[in-house]
Amino acid sequence: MKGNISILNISGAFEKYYWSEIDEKVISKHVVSEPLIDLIDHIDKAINAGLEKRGECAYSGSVLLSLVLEGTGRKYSYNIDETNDLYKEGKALAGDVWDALVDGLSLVRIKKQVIGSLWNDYLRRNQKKRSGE
Amino acid sequence: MAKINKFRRGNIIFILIILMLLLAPLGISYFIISGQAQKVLRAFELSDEDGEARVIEITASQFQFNPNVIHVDLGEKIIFRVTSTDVMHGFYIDGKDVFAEVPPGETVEIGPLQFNQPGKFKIRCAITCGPLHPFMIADLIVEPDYTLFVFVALTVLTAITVLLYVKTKGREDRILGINRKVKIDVLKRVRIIGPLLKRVLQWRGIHFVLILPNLLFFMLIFATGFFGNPTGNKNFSIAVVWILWFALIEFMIIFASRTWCTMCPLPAVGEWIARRRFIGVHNVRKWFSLNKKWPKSLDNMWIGALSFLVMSLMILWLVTRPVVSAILFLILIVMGTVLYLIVPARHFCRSICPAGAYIGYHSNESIFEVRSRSKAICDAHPGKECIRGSPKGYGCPWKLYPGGNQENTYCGQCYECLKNCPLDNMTIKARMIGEDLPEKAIRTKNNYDESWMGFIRFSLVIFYTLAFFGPYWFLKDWGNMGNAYGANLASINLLTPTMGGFQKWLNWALLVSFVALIAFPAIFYGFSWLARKAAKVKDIPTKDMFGAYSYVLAPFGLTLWIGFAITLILVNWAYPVNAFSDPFGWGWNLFGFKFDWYPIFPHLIPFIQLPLILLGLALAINFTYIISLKFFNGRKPAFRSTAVMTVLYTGSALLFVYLIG
Amino acid sequence: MVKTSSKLRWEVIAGVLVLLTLAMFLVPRLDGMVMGNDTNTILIRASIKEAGGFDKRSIEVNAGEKITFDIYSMDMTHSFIINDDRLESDVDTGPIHTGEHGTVEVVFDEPGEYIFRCGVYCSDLHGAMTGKITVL
Ligand code: SF4
Ligand SMILES: [Cu+2]
Ligand SMILES: [Cu+2]
Repeated sequence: MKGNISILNISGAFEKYYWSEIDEKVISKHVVSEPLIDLIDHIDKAINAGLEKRGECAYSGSVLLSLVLEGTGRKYSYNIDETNDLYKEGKALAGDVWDALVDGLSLVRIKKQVIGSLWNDYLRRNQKKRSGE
Repeated sequence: MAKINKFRRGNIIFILIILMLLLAPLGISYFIISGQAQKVLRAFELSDEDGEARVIEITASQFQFNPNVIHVDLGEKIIFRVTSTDVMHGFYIDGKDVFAEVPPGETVEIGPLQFNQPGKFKIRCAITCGPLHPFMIADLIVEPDYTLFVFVALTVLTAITVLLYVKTKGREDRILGINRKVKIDVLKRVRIIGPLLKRVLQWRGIHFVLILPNLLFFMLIFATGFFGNPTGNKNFSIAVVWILWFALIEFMIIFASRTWCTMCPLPAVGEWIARRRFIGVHNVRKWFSLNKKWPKSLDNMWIGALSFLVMSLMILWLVTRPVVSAILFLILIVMGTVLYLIVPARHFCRSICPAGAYIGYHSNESIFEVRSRSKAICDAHPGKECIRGSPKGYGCPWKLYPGGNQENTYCGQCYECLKNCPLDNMTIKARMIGEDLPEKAIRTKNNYDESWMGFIRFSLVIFYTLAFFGPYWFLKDWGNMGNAYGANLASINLLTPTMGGFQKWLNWALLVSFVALIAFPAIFYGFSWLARKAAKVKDIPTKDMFGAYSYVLAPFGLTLWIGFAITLILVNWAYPVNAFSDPFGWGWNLFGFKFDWYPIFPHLIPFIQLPLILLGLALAINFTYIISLKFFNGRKPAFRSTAVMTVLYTGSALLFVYLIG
Repeated sequence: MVKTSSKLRWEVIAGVLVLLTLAMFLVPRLDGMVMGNDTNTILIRASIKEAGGFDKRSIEVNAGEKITFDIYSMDMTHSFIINDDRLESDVDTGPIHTGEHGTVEVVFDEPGEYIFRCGVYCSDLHGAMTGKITVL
């Protein structure tokens, strides 16, 4: 479907490098998807500024990485897999978001969709964990 | 752990060798010379009790003494009769406590003086008599000139010693007996300073904070250059730039590579405008710039090398006329700004700026580098924030791949990569002088821009020494276009060149350009050819050897320039210091100090310069050997070709020794 | 958004600081303050005639007042002399070297015009390096 943004890979990466790294016991819905929301804002700004897609999507990978590092209170990641995964997923997602925005999907809708599915994923994964205990 | 120990040991040996190289010649030669002098003097005392003093007639005129080379005998009593044919001049002799005034049209008798130290001393004008006053110099040679003799002997001895060393012990990874491959990760390994430095360099404001004071000085340079005192040595724009800055840069290269480029205000304005930020990173990566591409054909050091040469052709005006300096800096800052607004990167610094070119060229001799900790991590990291940038910093504005960088030449030390790298893989390393020089020399094929930079820098340290501290007036007169006036903006018309003046300058320009661009490279090529013949190798073209060997002029030239810088400071330190108290040269005294001009230890300057020459020579020979080893994989041919090149290096060193000793 | 990206406040402060460096061009205006504003001390900067000669070439003073002339040599050794029969004795600072000040005190009793000149040969146009004092 047009404008369908898959967050499957992202939620996998978040599970590994973001949610699990946050110290608090209960994570709010806002925190769960915060880096992605900022990333989407960033892409929207880039499109409005008339930047070129390829370079900007690659840059978005780095943006996502630094947002995750910031969200987990770290200065560096010493894990090259983490940097590469987040970079790759950020880049891919940025491409989807870019297309969706260019296709005329509204920013609010995209955000809503992303927050929604990410939250579901988060709950599903944590439930599994809890029931596995 | 073992590695660190090795480094410590290497370190100590290194320091000892440097100390020995610096102090031994100084001590030995001073000892021999004064011993000889005493002997001769004793002989004189017996025979020459009430000997008549010899009278030497000298005329002083703007800006020369005539005769300009004066020979006297050791222990001889001399009376100088100095006549000024135009304005008020002064008379000062290195190592003698003589400051005489020579009023216009009058004759003054100075002496009798006795000369008990053999060697070459400078007679200098001691009262500012116009723009070229600091260059009004004659040579006084006290004969027999043991100093020169000992200096020559030490130079040859050094060359032979180093040759013997490389023949018996020379190894690819050792320079003068020290392991050149050990590096120390300053940010990680050095206690207290390392982490502190890391914090500071990762702070986004550091660049701005370093540039701001320099921008302030820059504005002062424009204000004083255009409106201040027309006489150079009384004007901030000249005294501080061409004495203090010019000298400090040479030291900075050795200890901190291109650190000047960290704080240089020339391209900063353009950079700020293009980024739309002074400190932070723009959120939307849109440059205020035309975003053009820099042409590949210009992405090298040719223009920078030539602009240094052209600057040097104007040097006698640049360092004496404030308005000329101010105009040069104005041109540079406008170019730096405009180019950034066309191509948003440091291409002005990479390819055009004359200072950037020579600082970059020599920076491979620095003991300082910005490199990645592990190249393997960089290779496995496609994100490459160091190239493209991240929300923490800009992508390398020097258009390098910092993670894979292997040379200092074009690393402007902006530390953006230190801020960018999410893996904390970038750092500062301390290392041996010219650690990667041989590899760079071998790697660079069919590119001769840096070779010519080397020839230009090497030739020009000799011309600068002649122009600033040499006795030959005709050379200075040529470079000066025969003009006697200082100038600021209001009196700039005094600089209108006459036909005769222009012809004089043409002599200077052609001579300097011919030596730097044609004669010296040709001789160097000749020797490279001989070296190839001596090594008896067929498969390596002479041009490759010529190109690779030319890189040894980087350490060699730098030590000569440092020697020049030391002289500049020791002789003329009073001018820049006073310029802070009276930047416009209007008779102010802002800070309550005003020093009289007097050189510090002028009679010892050659003894400070000689060890530096010898160090440069030793490095040149040893690097040549390492490069040859890489070329031939055989000690014998490597040694043979090194021996041939040594002849050339020793000859060049002797030329410089002759100028100073 | 990412915290390390630009903060407007610092940009503004930096911008103001950068603009302040332009104040260096105002420094020449401090001349009066730095050199003092004593009405009976007259500062004259001396350059060779080709570059303008004395910077004050026409000076008015009142008769009977004690005037201090403070001469500063810009580029060459100059001096400041007045040879005039109306004065009790000749005025002469003696040679003043480049970058130095020389002072001399004069009392003009008779009104009229007095010529001052440089007394140390300093350039081809040395003879023309003069100025005029009008005593009221
Ligand atoms: S320096 Fe850092 S950002 Fe650059 S390639 Fe290496 S690991 Fe990546
Ligand atoms: Cu002189
Ligand atoms: Cu005069």
